[in-house]
Amino acid sequence: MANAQVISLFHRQTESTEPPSFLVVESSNVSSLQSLSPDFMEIDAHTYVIDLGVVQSYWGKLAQQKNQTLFEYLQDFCQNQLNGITLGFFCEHPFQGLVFLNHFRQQNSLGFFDSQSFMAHKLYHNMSWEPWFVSAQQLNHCFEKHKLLIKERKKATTDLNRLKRFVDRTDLKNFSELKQAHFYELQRRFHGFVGQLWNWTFPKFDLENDQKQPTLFNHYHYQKLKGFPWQPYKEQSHPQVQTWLEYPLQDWQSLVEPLKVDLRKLSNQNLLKEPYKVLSMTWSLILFDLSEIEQTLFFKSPISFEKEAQKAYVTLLQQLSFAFENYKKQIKDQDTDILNHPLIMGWKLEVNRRIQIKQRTDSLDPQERSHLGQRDDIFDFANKVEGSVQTYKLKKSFIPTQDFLEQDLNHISVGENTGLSAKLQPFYILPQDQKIDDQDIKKKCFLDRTSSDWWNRGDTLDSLRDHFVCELHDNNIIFAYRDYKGHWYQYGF
Amino acid sequence: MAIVSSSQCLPQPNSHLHSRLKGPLQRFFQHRHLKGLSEWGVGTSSVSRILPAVLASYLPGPCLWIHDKPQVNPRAWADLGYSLDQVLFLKEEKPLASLRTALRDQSVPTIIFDSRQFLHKSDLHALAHLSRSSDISLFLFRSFFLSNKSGNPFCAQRFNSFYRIQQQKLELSIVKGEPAPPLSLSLEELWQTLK
Repeated sequence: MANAQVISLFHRQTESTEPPSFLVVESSNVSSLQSLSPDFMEIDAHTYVIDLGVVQSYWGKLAQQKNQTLFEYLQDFCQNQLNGITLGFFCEHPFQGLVFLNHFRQQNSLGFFDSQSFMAHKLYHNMSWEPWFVSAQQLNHCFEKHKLLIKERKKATTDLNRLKRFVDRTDLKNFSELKQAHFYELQRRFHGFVGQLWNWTFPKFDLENDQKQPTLFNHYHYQKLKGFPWQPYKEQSHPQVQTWLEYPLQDWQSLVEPLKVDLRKLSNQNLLKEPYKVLSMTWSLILFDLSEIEQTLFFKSPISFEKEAQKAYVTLLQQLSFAFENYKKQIKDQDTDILNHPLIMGWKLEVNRRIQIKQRTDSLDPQERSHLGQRDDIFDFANKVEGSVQTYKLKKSFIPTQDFLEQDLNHISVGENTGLSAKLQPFYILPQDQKIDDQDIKKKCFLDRTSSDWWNRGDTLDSLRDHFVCELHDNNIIFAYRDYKGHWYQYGF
Repeated sequence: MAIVSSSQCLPQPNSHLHSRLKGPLQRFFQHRHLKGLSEWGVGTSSVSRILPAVLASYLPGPCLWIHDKPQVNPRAWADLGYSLDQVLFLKEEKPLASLRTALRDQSVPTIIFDSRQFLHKSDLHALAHLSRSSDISLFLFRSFFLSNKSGNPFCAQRFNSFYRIQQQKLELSIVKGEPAPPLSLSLEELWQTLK
């Protein structure tokens, strides 16, 4: 069967639009879904919702390599790489995507569509109630199967029928005619489940309305799922290996060799062969009293077991050693009156999240990978260290020492170019300003006067700060400011 | 067997660095190499870290800044001419293990280690060996000032960098390496160098 095509009419209008959060698809091939994301939910035997949020930074990196926006890249990928998926909808909320999907099913259309496009927006506002009711029933059955929202769905079928009668009586042709109705009103009349569905019907449009409110510096935290009970698809079997040691062990050095043997067994399993990569795994240690202590390993970027086998499992062993350190701390905190490090009788290694990555995305020209966020060796390194490797970008801000943003290693961008300010800045800042005594200051040198974030303060003069480099009596040089009351605070080293 | 003179064994001055340095910094570092391990006595203040940070910004490739401080202020790096998409920060309480991993990994050509973690002689030996064999410039920042009384046989270059608040001048003196008079640079001269 030919792959589905992305219809050009549904292209996004602007590049600044947020990348899609979910993809609702009609598919009969589960493994094909894993090539997009390890997290997806089964609605029925042929309908799945894929969470793109968890792998957004990964796809972002690949899109950057190809000089495309994330959405363009995903479109391209879906068109050329996904087998067995005939119909898909990029959307902001699973229910919204489901409504679209059912509409296109009725039309017997094939392709990938986007809810953020102008045409989709228009279509959604003129869509009949039928796909909405079909989607509602579908979700009801799905939640029934997984025993979700039990209280809200007590009389779900009756409530949906009542809503149907109400719609017929009032002659409402499409559901957007009821858009102005607040979901609390529908919830009061048709109970919890219908209320929830209504809350999910216009997820993005609510955000737009709220942002139009004339509030100064309003930070809107958009909850993507809005209470939608996410039930991740569980594979029938995860790749795993269980070991019972011939004699108990307790120090890391003696664990390394048996662990290597197990990792080799894992990498020989078909479920972990290329193109599958691993995002997280658990290591359950079985102690001498047969109690189990579980350690979870999260990889900062997906790890290929096949490639790791060639490198003698350096990264995996490094991560396992951190997990072992953590286990030792846990044991210490448990305050047991037995040994300091109980004897380990065996363990189970289980890969619980994996992703299918096609060769095509890995075989880019190394010349194109000069950018920091595109270099695999940097990702390898990030996986090998305990702390997180951070990068930052500058942003425009009125408040000194808050004019930067931490950014994901997978998704590095340059940020605002504000030029050199030619003034002294501390390399390190304190999480909270610390009051110091002016008697402690031996010498000081004026740097700057700022009067920022006055809007956050009851007393507007409180924002006035004179910044200084100060030498203290113990010869330490610090960065400090003096407020308008003459109090001194250290803010940097 | 080919006979190799001892001068050929010595690391050569970094041509990339010298072609980009300007003014007094260029004169001070023209015959110096910064490959391998160099030790910097910088105390606890950010201001005394400015000169080595400026030097590191002129070295090629991305830079890994390993530290144990509560929070970095990336604006300070940007103001010294760093492109922030080329600087990686790694914060750890005891970062020596990660430094060894970074040296073995060879994924970044310049590493700055700014931590108060105590280093044994064996650690210094290992760091010097790893940085030399992997051709990485490793700047080891010490939270105290260096002296000849307690030497470090593993570093070919040792410097003290400090700030004189009264004169508003940055100063750089050599503790070990080819002798030269101390470098004294006012803040205005430094900003001129960076432009």
